[in-house]
Amino acid sequence: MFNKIALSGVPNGFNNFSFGMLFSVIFHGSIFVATIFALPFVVKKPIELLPSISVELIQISEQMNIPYAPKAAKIIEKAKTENKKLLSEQAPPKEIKKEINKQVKFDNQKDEIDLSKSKKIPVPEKKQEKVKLEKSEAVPLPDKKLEKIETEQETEQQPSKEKKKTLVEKEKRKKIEKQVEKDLIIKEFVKKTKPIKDDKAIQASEFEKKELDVDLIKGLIAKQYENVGEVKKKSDGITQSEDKSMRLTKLSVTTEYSIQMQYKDCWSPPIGGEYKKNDYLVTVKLDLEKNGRVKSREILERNRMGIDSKYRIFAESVDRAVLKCNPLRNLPLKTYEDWSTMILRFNPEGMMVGQ
Amino acid sequence: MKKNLFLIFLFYVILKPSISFSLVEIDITRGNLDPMPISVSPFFSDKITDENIKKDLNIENLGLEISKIIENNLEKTGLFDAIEKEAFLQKPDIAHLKPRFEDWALIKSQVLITGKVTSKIINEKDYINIEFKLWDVLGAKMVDGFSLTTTPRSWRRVGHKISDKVYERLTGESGYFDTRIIYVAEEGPKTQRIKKLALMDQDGFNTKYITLGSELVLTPRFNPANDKEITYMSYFRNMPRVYIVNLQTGEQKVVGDFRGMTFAPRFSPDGKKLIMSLAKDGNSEIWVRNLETNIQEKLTDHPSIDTSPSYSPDGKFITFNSDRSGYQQIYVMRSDGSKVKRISFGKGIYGTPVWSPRGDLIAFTKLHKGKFFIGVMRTDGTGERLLTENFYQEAPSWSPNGRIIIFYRETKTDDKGQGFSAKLWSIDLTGYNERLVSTETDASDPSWSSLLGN
Repeated sequence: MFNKIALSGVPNGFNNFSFGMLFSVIFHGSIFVATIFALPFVVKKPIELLPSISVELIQISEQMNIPYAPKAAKIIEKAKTENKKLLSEQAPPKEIKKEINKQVKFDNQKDEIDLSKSKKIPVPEKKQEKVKLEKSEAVPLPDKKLEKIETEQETEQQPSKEKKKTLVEKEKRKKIEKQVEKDLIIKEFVKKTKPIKDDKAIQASEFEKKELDVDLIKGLIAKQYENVGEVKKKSDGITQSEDKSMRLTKLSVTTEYSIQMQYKDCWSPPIGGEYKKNDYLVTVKLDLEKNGRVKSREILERNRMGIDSKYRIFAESVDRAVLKCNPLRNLPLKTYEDWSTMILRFNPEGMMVGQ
Repeated sequence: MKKNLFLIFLFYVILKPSISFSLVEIDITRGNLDPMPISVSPFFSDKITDENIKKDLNIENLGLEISKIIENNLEKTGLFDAIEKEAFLQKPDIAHLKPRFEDWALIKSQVLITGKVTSKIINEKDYINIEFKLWDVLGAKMVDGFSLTTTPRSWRRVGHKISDKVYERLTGESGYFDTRIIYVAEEGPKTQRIKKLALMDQDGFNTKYITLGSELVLTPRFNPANDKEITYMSYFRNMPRVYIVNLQTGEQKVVGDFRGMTFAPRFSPDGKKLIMSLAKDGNSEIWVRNLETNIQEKLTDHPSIDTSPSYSPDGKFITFNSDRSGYQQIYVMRSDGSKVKRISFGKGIYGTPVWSPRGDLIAFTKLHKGKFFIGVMRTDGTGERLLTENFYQEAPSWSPNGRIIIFYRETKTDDKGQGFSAKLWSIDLTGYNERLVSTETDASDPSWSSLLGN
């Protein structure tokens, strides 16, 4: 009835307009509200920061080298039991160790947690790190790094505590500092066992379950020792094994030279041929008697001889050389076992026979 | 169990290389560059054959003569050293059947060549059959051999063919002994030289004169595709013209009707085109004439002198010399005349470039500080090597295997105008094996044929 009256008093067009307006307002309003609360780019989500894991990448070689490695091993052995206590969150807190953490503040509380985290990295990941360590070549002196750590510690320790504590306490602190140094070394190793790209969060319970793998650290130290040795070798220049001209054989240099000279006289490579680098390499396996006589000979590239006529001609010249130089002279009887079987590689690369 | 076996096998495979590493390994990178000692046993022939051959050729011992041809050919390469026949311990007939290798090794021979000559009558005509075997003395085995029948008159060619076979078998390269050389034979004093075209075997035998010497002849060249056809330059109605001569029929014809002087002709590798220089109005350009269609085409168009063209063995490029840069230098262009590129940049004047049959080098003559050099360079101009120098020498020509270069050398005349001579010389690519090529008269402008056909 009301509707009828109300609507009857106004023109139909107005009624339609007001209804349209109302519908529009409600419709747009709802969209606006939905926009505010529902659309993702409008919603302001709280920033959920993942617990940060600070990973300090330090080459193990920065901490260790040959002279220092045994020291570190000893330190680790001594710290074996202490570390278990120190790094276990469940262990009863000792005053000294708390002081250490407070005084040194080398990594703050978070770092300590991180440290504990790093202990729990599974073994395969540690192996990956090992590989990285093997590649490290830069080996600065260990003292420098340790000094650095000490200076950092001093700057942090000096302002408040030195005035308050007695000389006895100072001595204690020195001892503690030494322990901290040890811990630092251990920490550095442990940090290295962290996988660099592992962003997965690890539960605290996992940290608690696992302990510092001292054996692994020992292994790392030993490995580092080897690495340093390798680096030194490389820095010495090309080794005999790397130098083709000084390739190690079981023969003495004079014997090898003598054999080369004998074949130089016996071998007449086909001069007319064109020989490019390593194009015509003929390998002959010789079985020799004690008097140097050839028991049997075998050209290892038989297949190519059947296909490549030029190569066959070249290989035949090698075969002639072997026969012409039969028996080989000046071979040491004492080392017969070493040269009883011999591989000769005839390569005309060093000869100007082509043009 | 299977798994264990697999693991054992795997370990074996892995360890195997390490085992082989334990062997003594020695690199031999130096050899003996001295000529290889060889023995060429006189070819054996029975009494009947000897009588027949004496009747036909007036030669006492053909087998011995053939062995001398082979010896001579191989020794001239500088790669072989023939052992004196007096040192041989085994008779030719037995050696041909089964050599006692110990005897041949005793005289330091590495290779032995034996053979047998037999006379035959086929269709009432006399023929000779020549059998040859190549033996590896150290390896104690026969490594090659063949037998062929021919007319007695071709006995020298048989010797050359055997030489080619031996050379190819021992060096890996094709031989060049069964070939001919055409050259300009010269006689008389320097101011009044009589020049004739002459043809001979590569060893200087069987010389034949093609022209009488009434007209001046220059730059004869073999057709690489047909060893019985040559081209050369001579005068026709007092005008230099390029000719083509068929050596079998004696037919001779002038190439083209150019308004101007044509010279320095050379065949294309397929023998279907002739490339030459045409001098006109003081300018010289390179032209090519198709011998099948008789269409001629101008390849260069430059106000400087372009001459001495030579095709690459694949026919795609042409090398020539030009003074367009101020001095005479060597250029390379495509066979259609496009993409001209200078390749010689050394000090001196470069000329007469000739592309090697192997395609890798260009031989040239160089004049520097009053001396003439014969040299080679790569086709891009790099790796220039001067093989020989002298007072005057030029016109290099390649052997068909691209290993030897033949050229001619003139000597100085003395104060009285005496002592002048022109001779053919050959040199190999190492530059160490330089030899005089014997000719009946003075000689110049040599050209080496390809290997002769049958």
